[in-house]
Amino acid sequence: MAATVLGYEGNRDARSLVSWGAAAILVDGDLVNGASGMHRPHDEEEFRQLTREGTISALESPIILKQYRNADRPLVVELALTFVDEAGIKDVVPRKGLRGSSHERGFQVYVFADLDAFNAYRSQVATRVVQKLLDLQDETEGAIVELRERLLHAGLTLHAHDGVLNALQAFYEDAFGEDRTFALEMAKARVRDPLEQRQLECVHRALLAAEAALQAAAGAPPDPNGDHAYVLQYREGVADSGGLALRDAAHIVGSANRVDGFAGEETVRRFPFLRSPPSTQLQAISTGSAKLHFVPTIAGEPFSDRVARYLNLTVLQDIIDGKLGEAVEQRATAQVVKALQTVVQPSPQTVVEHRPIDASEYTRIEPETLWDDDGRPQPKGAEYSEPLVLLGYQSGLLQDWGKLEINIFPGTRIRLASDRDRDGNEPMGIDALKQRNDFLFRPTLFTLVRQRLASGRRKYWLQQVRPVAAYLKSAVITAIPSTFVHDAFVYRLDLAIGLRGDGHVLHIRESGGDTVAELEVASLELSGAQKWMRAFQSVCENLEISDFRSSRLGPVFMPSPTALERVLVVLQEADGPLDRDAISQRIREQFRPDVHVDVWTVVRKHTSHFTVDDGEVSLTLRGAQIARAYLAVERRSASARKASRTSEP
Amino acid sequence: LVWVHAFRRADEAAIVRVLRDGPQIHPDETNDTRVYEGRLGIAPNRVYAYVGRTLETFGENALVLPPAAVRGGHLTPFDTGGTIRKIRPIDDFPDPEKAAYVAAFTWTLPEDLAACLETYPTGDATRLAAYLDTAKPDGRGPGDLWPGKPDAAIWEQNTDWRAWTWEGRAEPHHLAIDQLRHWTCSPSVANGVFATAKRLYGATDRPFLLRLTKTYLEGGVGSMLLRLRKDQAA
Repeated sequence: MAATVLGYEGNRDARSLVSWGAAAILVDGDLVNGASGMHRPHDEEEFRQLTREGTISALESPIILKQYRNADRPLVVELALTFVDEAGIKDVVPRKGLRGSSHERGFQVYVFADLDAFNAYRSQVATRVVQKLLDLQDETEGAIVELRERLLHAGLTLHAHDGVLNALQAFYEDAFGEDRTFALEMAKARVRDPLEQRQLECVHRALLAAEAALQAAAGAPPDPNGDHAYVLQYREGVADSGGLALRDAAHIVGSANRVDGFAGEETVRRFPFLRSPPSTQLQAISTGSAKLHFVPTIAGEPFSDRVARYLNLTVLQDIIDGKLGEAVEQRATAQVVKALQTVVQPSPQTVVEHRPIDASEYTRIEPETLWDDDGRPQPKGAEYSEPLVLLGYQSGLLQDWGKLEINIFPGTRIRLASDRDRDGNEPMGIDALKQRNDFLFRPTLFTLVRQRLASGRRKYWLQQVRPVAAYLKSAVITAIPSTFVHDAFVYRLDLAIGLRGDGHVLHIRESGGDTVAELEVASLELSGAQKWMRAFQSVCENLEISDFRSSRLGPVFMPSPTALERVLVVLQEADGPLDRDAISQRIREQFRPDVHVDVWTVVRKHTSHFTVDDGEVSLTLRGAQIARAYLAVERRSASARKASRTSEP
Repeated sequence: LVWVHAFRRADEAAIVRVLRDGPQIHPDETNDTRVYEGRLGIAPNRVYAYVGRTLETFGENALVLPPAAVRGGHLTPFDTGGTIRKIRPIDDFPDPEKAAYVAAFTWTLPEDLAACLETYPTGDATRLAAYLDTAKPDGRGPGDLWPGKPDAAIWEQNTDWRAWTWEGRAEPHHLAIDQLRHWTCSPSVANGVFATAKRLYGATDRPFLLRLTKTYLEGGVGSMLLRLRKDQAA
């Protein structure tokens, strides 16, 4: 439906270079708040009153939205052209979700489809503002200070919770002689995302280090033994003579150089405002004591380079320490992995210690990620499931066939590498798939291996991909996702699958047995795929609650039970009906004493699961089936955890 | 359900004072709220909030308090000021009858809060979501839910959600503003609010500055309502 953006919520502060807010939209005679979605009849006089009061900022020229749905949450952003010019963001254009734009009164106006689209754009702008602010740090004119304040104020108005902008805010307050600790605490309080908070702390340290380097005696070389240096030390093994042979030193330094190249790419990925970090500065090699000294800042460099150098070195030391094992697994080439192995373990007997930047003690490097002889990552504590053959469809292609996006259940999308399986080989069937142009949204069997990473996260490896065709001997589903526990599976099934009826019916039957389901494949488009997938979900649900011969694969992380699951479990394990107090008591005993569950609310909300008779609650047949299905996964998950704990040294 | 108070102030310092010291009684005796209180027999003067949400379209500033931060006051399942202005048929009643209607549907905070909400909108998730979405409840009016109370078809005869939304009112000292959960304002004003708060209280009240920073929700009242709806419906 058509809609018109008349303005946006909030007061357009005349002093501000940036304003934004939920769109005020005229739809079918109603005025709609773009954030809350609430309607009220549009009254022009009332609208003018709201504008005068500063409750709504009206646009001079309303912007027509050609496509608008009630679920849309558009918002409006106004950027003063002086800000666009000063921040150097003329070429920063919204990449996605732009629904309209205009110029008025010296402002650039954008209407974004939703918060996600706005977030993408403001992150781009924040990155540019940070770059500009870092560049300005080398300028000393009085006007620069005002410009810096304007840019920072506008940046924070646009993106109040951005980690790097808040780091700069805290840094400038430091520079103005205020309480550093409190300034940082305030900045951290403004940033909500834990990742952004870590970024804030890293960047803040880098800013202080860059500032300190400037204040150090002009031209004086940094002390390689000072607390700000990063030091790698080798003992025993290649260093058992107390020093390093030149050959070993060259080998380690060469490898460190290769790892540093990867660290540079990773640094820019983590801190997009950095253009390109300078190569890490090896300040000294003490072959006598087998130490390598790297310095994080160099006084004579531009401020932005000093910041980049510092951040790059922190990333390098984290890679060496194994803290970025996942990044190495996902993005490093085999050569980089080999080089890293040389740096952290030049020989089996060598002990490697390091002293991170700003630390005073050496710690032994015991990387969380180890690599096998072929340079394949083998995270400690990694576990692989057996191969699971799942029915799904491919919904996307990323990085020019580098990754596939597949759907194996409604709402469960997985992105996985298409160029290597868990053993580093190309997954079977990928080559054939690339030859086709009709692979999207087609019923397909995916053979996946689920890996539990040492970090506690999960990763899927694609072993084989095979579009479903007419019956073939080996076309069998061996696993289905659990309907009741996310990331759990029922597996070791044996369900033959094939297409019938000119490819319009997906036929699933027990191998050599009865038909389990016939699903209509209405079309090979997304809507058709979503339709048969929803029907398949109901088949899976029935299988899961009726088949307890098959095995359960618990999730990598078993979430705490919900209120419903607690009530189901307690009633399933009780001898008979229980009243509300007894259920609450048993929940406290079985789960946690401080857990409170509003039993009546749960029971009233799930009438198909419970019956109430004279104040006593019992499970219906369906409730009992779901409870059993949940417990089957939960117990499998608990025994897997126990096995994992007992196998630890 | 939380206590949501929307407010408008002339400058950033005034916004900061509300967030630090809590909402205050309007100083002008001729202000509509104070005049209506006189006509409805509400004394002493109160500050007002809606329970669970606030004005449905646009606003400038708003703060949110958890139920535990309201240590006294009263609760009524409609906007009492609306009985003077526009909630039919009460707006046609003589003032003493309006006052009697309001008094009949007035409960005491905090002791009656749980029972009131259990009656309306109840703990049922669907009804709670409907309440947060400002959907009109079934029935003629609150008399359907509280038998024995005056019967007036204020739900049937009105279209504005304020005829079926809980109003909370309290004396300022009953509100524990240090338990502030969220607040919001226009994004273009926020930095000025922070800077003003720092200028006024940077040296004397740092806990307030941290509270102010941690509880800020960006995006304005509409965004805050969206967030509150999700949080409370869950």
